[in-house]
Amino acid sequence: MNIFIKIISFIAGCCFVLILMAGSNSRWFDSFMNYVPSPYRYGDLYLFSSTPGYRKLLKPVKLKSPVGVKNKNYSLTIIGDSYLADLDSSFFSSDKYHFIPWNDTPDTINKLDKNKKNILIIESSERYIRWRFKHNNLVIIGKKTQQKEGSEIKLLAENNLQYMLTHFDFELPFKELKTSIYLKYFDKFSPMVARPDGSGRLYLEETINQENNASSFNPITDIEIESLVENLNKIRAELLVCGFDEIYISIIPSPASIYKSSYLPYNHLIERVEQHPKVKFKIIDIYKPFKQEKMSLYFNSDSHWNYLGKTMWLIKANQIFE
Amino acid sequence: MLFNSLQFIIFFFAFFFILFSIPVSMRKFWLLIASCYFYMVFKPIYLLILLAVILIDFCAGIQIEKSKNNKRSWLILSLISNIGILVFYKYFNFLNENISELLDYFHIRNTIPAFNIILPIGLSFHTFQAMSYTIEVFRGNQKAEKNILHYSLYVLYFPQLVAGPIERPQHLLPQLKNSIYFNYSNIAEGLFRIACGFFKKVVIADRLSLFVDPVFNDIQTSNGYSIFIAMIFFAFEIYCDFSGYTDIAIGISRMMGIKLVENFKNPFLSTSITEFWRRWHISLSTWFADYVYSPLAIKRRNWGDWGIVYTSMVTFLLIGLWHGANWTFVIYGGINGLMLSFEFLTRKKRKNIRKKIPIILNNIVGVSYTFLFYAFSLIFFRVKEVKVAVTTIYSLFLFSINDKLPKVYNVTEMAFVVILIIGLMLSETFIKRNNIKKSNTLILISCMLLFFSYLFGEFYSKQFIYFQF
Repeated sequence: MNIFIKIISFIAGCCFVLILMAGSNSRWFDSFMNYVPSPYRYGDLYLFSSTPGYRKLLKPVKLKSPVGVKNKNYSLTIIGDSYLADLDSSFFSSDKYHFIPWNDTPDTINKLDKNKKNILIIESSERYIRWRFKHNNLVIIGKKTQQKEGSEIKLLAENNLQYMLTHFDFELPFKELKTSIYLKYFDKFSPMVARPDGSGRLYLEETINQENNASSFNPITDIEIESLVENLNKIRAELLVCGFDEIYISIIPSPASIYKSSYLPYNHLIERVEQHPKVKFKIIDIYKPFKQEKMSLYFNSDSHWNYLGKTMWLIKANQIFE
Repeated sequence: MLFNSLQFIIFFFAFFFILFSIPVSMRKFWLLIASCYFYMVFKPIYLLILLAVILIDFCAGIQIEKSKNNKRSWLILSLISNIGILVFYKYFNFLNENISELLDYFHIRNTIPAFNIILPIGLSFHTFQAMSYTIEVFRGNQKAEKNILHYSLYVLYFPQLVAGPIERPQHLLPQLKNSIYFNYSNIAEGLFRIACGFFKKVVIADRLSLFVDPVFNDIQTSNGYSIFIAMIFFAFEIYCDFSGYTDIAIGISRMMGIKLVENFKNPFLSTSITEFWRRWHISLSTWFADYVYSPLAIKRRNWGDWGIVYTSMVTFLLIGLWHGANWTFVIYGGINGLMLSFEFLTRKKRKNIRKKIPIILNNIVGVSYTFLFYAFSLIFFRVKEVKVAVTTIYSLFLFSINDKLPKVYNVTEMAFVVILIIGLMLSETFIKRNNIKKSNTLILISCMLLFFSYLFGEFYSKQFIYFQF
């Protein structure tokens, strides 16, 4: 081998060493991710399934804030999930804003500003409602992620490397080819995504599968609805004691509830909870407006809402402060 | 680090790119560093134990060669350190548990607590390889290694560190002393072998495990037909898994110009269990043959045929125990030993019968009986408790053709699985790897195999079965 090839080869080897290190070191991993395309750029459902025909870039639209004037008397806290995680205080009319992810510790609950009216919005996607409010306390909050050890670190390194290296555009046609072969010949598809139904929209499997209680089409009894409402009432009462002045619940409909309910027996979970006579909490209802809206409110290859869906919710939520 | 993981693929490229770009004199150091890293990925602290054992064996080897009166003492020291670590990590809890049960019988409480120990990866393999070094030096078949780098590489050499093949010093050490050069035909041959191994692992073994695992993990609800098919599939799964690993290990070594011993020679075409064990996990069976069976057989030669039976039984019980600290493995070894003994004792009668039967029929019956018997013995290998094994065998004999199979495969995939197995057997029987001489052709075939593995492989980084030993 001549010296030039050796130098190139050495540099390539060192690059691979760096990649290997980045897999098991979180700081290096974060830096590395700045240089590779986001695996989520075509939507999470595409990421999980590599379904041919759904590789369409989710264009990053800069969301316009519906807020005009800020109301100095309000402080807003949201306990929420990925639907609202990327919002900041500029999108709300309240003077202060805190976001608590569902799996995080609720430090901010202890730091309420007593001089302001403290509003709490508990936001949850429809598919998690039955799981999150199965008990009458917010057990999911405060469940800190534990330090991982041994074989889990290995798995983490492997997962990091897969996250870093297996989503480049040149790889995707091969992934799609594999998906097509598996679907056509072996009748197998991603366990996380429902098989494409020709409607041009992908859905999470758990929201479609009638046997799964995250599904919009899994039957739910009146007794369970009543239990959910009672649990929510108890949670509300506890949070009022913590110092919140008003508690709102907002259930974000699964895309399947909006677009598939004509084809499958919808369990009407959101309406049945929101219209239950024993409800004591306030509601930010977006199921009805979403159902009436003619334009698409969700991405076709992602389980989340698009620009329009999020804007509709923000307008509704900001009405609290009027 | 699993050979079928992305982590390994990156490691592989990093290792080889740097290996062939640095000066020849530094390559062995790089190989040692890479081997240490490879081992440390699992549990870094365990490298210290391995290094300590390397040091003991290295010194013991020199002392055995040097000393005239204390040879045996040094050998015993080396064996105790190796076996001690093996027993502590692998068998301590098993022994303690059994002692407790025995003491319970006499209403005595065992106060020794069980340890929460993680078994160092590939412990049984590198311990056996290390032991063969000091034994061979003691026997005078191998000169003591004076270079610690070469000896460390002999034990730590990453391609075969965690699941063999178990090498002998006479074969591997001289190769490790040679310089590592870039050779295109070696690269092509190595890559082809790696592609074959990768294909066997991800396309065949891991696909078969999709069927096998649910059946064996829920034996209570599995019917006889499912268990029968799972038993057959598991035999092929373990073969493809283990021989796939060996192929990758051999392939990586070949790329560096090092030839490792073959571990399998079409074992499922054996016509008897005796022949089967000459073709299956060859490096382990020859290790036991050289260091356990032969010395014991010589000692018991005055027992006649029963001496052979006794020696076979002891050897196979130990082979079973080598696989794991569990009675199921002991039974697995035991029933293979029994069958081997049976074949030995009836050898003359069987020879007479065989003479009267056409060769083809002889072979068909022989291959079928050997395969079915071995697949059956693997039930003890696959399940974790003797009780479960008994339930499995009981359910197996309630076999009915009307039983339904679990819906893991559709008809096309089932046909695909069967074609893969037949194709594997045919290719290993009729295609001799050495027939393909052109390096470019080998590289092209390797790329096609790897692409096919990507398209049809199951990628959930399932651990190689023999990694646990």
